[in-house]
Amino acid sequence: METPFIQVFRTPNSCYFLDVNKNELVPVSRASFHYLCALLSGKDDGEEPVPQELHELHAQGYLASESAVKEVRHPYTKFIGTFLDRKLAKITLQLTQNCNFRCKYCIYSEEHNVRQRSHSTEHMSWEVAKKAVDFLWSHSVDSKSVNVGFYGGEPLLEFPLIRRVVEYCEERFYGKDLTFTITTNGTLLSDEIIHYFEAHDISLMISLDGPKEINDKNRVYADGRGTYDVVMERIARLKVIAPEYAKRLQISMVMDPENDFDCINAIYLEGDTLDRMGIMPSIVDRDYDGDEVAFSEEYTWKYEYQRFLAVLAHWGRFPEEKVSPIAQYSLAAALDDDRLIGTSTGLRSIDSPSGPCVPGQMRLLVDVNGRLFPCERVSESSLAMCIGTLDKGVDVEKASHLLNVGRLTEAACKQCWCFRYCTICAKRADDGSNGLSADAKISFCDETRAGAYGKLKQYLFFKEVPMFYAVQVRSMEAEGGKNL
Amino acid sequence: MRIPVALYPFSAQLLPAVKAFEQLQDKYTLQRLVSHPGFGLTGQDAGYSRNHPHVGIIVTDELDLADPGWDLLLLIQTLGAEAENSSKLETAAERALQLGKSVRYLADGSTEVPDGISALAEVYSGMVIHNGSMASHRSPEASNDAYKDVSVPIVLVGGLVEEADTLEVVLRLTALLRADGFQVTTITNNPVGQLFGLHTLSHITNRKDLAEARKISELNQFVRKLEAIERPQVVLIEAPDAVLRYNDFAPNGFGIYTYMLCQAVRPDHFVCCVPCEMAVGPFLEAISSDFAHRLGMPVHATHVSNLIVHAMDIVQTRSISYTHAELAAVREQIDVYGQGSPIPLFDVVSNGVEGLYTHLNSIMRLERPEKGGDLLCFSAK
Repeated sequence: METPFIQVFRTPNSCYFLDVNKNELVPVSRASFHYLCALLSGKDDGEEPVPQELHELHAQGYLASESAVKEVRHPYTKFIGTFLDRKLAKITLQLTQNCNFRCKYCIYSEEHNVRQRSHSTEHMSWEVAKKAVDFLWSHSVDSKSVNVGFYGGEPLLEFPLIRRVVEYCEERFYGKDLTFTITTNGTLLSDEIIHYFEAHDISLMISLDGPKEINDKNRVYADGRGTYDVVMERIARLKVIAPEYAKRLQISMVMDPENDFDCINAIYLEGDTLDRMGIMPSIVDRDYDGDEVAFSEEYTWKYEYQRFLAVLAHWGRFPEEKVSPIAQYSLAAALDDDRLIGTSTGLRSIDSPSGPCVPGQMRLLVDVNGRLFPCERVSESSLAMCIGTLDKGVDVEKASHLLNVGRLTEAACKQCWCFRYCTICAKRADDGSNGLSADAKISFCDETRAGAYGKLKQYLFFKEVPMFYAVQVRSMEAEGGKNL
Repeated sequence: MRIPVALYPFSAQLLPAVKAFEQLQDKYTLQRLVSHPGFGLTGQDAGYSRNHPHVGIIVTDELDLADPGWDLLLLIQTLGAEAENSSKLETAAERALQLGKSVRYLADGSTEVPDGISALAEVYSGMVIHNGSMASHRSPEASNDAYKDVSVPIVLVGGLVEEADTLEVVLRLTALLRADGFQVTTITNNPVGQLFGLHTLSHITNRKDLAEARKISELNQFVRKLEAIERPQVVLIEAPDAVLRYNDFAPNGFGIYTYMLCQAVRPDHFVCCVPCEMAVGPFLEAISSDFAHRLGMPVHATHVSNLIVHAMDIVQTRSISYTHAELAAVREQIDVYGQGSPIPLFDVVSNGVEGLYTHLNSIMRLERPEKGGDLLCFSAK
């Protein structure tokens, strides 16, 4: 048997392979699984007979040895001009490059960035902001709703501009579903600002990394003072003067996994200032300072334990209130992703790895000078990532180049089992040389495949639960179990 | 002498009606299209709303009530995402009436005429027309008759997504049928159809006091009553919703109303309107086979819309998301996939309506009436 284009998976209950071309997870016997493992690892000496089950699957079109993809080209390549001309959904306005914090991991910090801009006193003028709103207006005729995001630096340093933009947008987009979002460190939230945000339904996200000892390690003012106390005092004030609005508050938590997970999680055990589920955790981004993210043992095993409890809680076997909200959020996000696995199609002859979005269409970043970037996560110093200006519009060819980042590594991508589950976008191929680099992109492949592998294994395991544990499930139901 | 009209608020949903406005009725002439500023249409030709060819009317966002260029304000309560707050329409109506203009209010037949509009109709007697006073809109009362088939051919026009030009196809076919002297009964989803003597089903499908099975009976009786009153040679129906589930992220209504309709009247022919990139032979054959089993008729013809579904956005927003491509993309799709497709592909928006009409005529075997003749021949079911 020729080496098939598959990836094998094993759960506690069963064995599977992913038929990459068909994008189907196929259960197989242990014997077939072992045969496939040997084949994939090159240890098959040809002596072993091919299991009958695999013969049958092969006859049904499974286990093909060649990739169905003949050319890597994103299906939206032909329409990218239309998407960018008629379908913008969001702009993020970089109101200022200044910040009253100097977080130690900040991608904009003077010490840590290699390929990203630094803090500066540059800020957006009203003329640029107005032009950006007009740009969204004239490029969103096919969007039922639009969103304007305020970003920085610290955007609240420019509150008068925020006000002016909000009022202009409300007039300009009258009749369309319009929303606003702001990400802030929270320290400048005055009563006036809170009332204004509530009145205009501006979705508020405050950054906070954990309890005082964790947060204040990194999130500090320019003079080195910790910021935790001020932020918590502002959040408490928010809950007093705008209790309904406070229920929609979200906390962006950047976790440095060098810390003990229990310490990070402890923030939810300290009083009732923070709502357990308003949390958006993420791992610190070290892409731009050239360092790898380090995970301490205390983080890893305690997180895994909480994750295990989150799984039990999901199935009604453990009280939700005793599980880390961070782990619950992570599990919920993973379960949501599972729906994608069930609905993705097989590979087509002209296809693209699934990482990139349509650059600029989903969350166009407008910097203080009116330059356009696909989103706020890319390097603003990189010419490769700048896809236009407010005056000249989006450079469609450049955006198309970013959309088709898979072409950089076409040969490898065509043969990669992770083609449908890839999460690598052009940002990963930006090596700071103002072009896109195949080497830089490929350096993320192992990590991406490992993530996809874990996700698919979890998907399979969760699918198995009612089937393989039917006795336990029925017993639980008889005892009044829930969430099954 | 036609009455000059300003239409408010104009949106992409209404573009097909704007295009057919002068052709399908002889009472009004369209002078102004007024949109909300947020729709992004201000200063553009109305065709821009769907990336269609220009229609020759520039959209404005200012409802100038003192404008002597129009005499009647046509207020349309649109549906879905573009649905208008009725209080805004009432305010516009009142201001127009104060300045001596007339008002015509059109809304989905399933909802009551807003109190404000009714009150204005009483105060400004004879100056306000609304659903309640339009006999053409009202359904003939359903009786307790048993279920029976409609005896004339029924053509269903439905879309894989609701926005894929179904209204445009229905209106264009209606215009051609009428121009050829055929008697056609047309049912659409958009309240604007009332202007053109068309009917809607929403007063049945949207009722909350009827069980689903009862709705199916009511639909059957309603269409049969129309048949009895209008004596059509053909019935054209715009599917009341998208014709099938899109995916897990956007179930798209599961095509439930179309299913009910197909149980009620058993359409003979189906024109399926599909987003551009889905107009591919094997895919169309697969859905045609599915429709044949599920709805009782295969796809007889396809209209290729310039709609492009934004799959990645659907995952984010959990609803159907789309944009409108250049019509050149539709032509290219038809050039590439039209030849090999057993289900013929047409581009009704550009120039394909004649082809679609001829194709449908050939399978329905409607006979063109002789000039001046009053006896029209067609094949009964």
